[in-house]
Amino acid sequence: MPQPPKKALQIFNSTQFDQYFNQFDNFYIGSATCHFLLPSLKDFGYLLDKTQKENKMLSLLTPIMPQDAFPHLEKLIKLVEEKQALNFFELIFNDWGVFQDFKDVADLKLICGSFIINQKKDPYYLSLKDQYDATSTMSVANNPDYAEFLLSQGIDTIELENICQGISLKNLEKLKINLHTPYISFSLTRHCPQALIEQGKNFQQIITQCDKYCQNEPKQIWQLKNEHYQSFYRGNWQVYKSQAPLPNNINKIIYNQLLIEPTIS
Amino acid sequence: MKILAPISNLSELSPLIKNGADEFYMGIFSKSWFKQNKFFNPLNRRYTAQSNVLDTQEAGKIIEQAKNQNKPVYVTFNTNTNFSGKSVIINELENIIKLKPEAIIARDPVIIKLIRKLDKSLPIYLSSLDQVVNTQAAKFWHENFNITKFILPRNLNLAEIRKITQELPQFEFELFIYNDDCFNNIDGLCSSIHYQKHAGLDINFVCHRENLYKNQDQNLQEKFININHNKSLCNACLFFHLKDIPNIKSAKIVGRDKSIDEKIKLVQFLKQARSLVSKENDFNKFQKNTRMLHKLIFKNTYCQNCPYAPTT
Repeated sequence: MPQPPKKALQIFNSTQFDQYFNQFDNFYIGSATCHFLLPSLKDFGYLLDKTQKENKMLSLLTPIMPQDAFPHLEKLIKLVEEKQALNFFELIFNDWGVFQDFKDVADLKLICGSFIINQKKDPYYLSLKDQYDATSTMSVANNPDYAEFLLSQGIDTIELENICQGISLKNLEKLKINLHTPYISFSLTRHCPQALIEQGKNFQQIITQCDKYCQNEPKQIWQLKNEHYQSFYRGNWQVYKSQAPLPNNINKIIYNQLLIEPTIS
Repeated sequence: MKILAPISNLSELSPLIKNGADEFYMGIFSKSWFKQNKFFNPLNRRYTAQSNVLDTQEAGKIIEQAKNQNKPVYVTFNTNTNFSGKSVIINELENIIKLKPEAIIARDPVIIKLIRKLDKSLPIYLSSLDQVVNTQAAKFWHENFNITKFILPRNLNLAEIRKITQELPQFEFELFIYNDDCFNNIDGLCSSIHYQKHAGLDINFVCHRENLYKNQDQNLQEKFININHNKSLCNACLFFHLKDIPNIKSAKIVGRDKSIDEKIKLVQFLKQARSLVSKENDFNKFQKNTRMLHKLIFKNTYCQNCPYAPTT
């Protein structure tokens, strides 16, 4: 019998980590959308110690990385090495620059994030059912040549999101899949409206300092409703909750983790 | 810095050259491709016919006639890996390569490899969709695909542009000088459907759906909408700020779907703004003159909240 998938949880701080620690095998810290959400060294050290001690996994999610954000990320990875925690750790990159920077760290598991593995994520696809074809459920990784390219870089695991029109598993046999569900990130900006408002600015500007306003109370979330989907603007990214059923054969072949993101509304 | 203008038909070539365009980029609308893929897998991120040159023969004439006047033409092919099969995409690429463009703008590793296989010597410029926002990313693409020219994404501030371009003098760069609506979301990471007003559909890009948002805090919602609607398109101050960086080669005007009148005005404005750099050493005076120039040509001033003024 195939093993059931390991369950992972996206957390944003050590309080959430402690709260859910016994319920999950793997914890995602950091963010695929914003470098300001990378954990502090202190928090990260605490998470590393506890996951290592209890034989669980810690995954560090990283976004598109501005040049200035690299020194902090390099410190985080150095800490993993110092604590000899590489066997309990994986780095998820959404920027080939991050891959380039860390590809030579021995024993560091690098996973290709969902913003590199392009999928058609706009929830408006649900309103176009009559027009879209099978390719709408595919990602770039469904192309065997793309999979070969990833494997040639030493990457055997990718992240996918369970998009509203469903996902295709065609040609994915050679890769391991981390599946995000139920929240799908489909758009992000460096003109973070939430931070700009909090900082009293009234026009678009790239955020250079942030106090993680998006982690504040739910009142900070804008909610969009129509007949097809429900989506939210939180911080600098837009997400929606997908109702798409998982593929029937998902337990049998393709993924090793299920990322259940915490409720955001 | 050369002025890189969009072109979508042969009749635009002469007026754009006459008014100051130094080089061109275009997409080619492939009927065979469209028939197979509808509009879900565009070859160059622009779905509409008016954004593209409508047939290969006309595209060939544009390239040839531009070349005769020493104006290079680049073909945009920054689609993702095609889902319809390798043979289909090879066919499209072969048709483009036969036209002998100066370079192909691409983003996808598989497509880049195919281009390299079909024509080893044809330059490939890396699309902004690949988000080269740090030096390491540029090194990745160079190391693996021998890319030496990068189109910087819109979501960089001035300090970041300077840092990347100055730390990598061995590479060439291109940046966006006059944006269109796609100024807010991060290039390539935005999954918005891009066929607004196409085939009878009228779908707002995700960055323009904010009026549909609900929030209990009305004041907060108004601020949010205000921010999202406050555009800064011009960016001509980049000419001044980056005048000392020789490896930024091109300033790209966004808007392949714009009318020829709009394109001419943009080229005229940017040519004159660029010439102001050599005449004026004081930024404040440069900015004032550029704003006046903008108002003169466009009858408005878009640069009140420019992210590049003052220096950021």
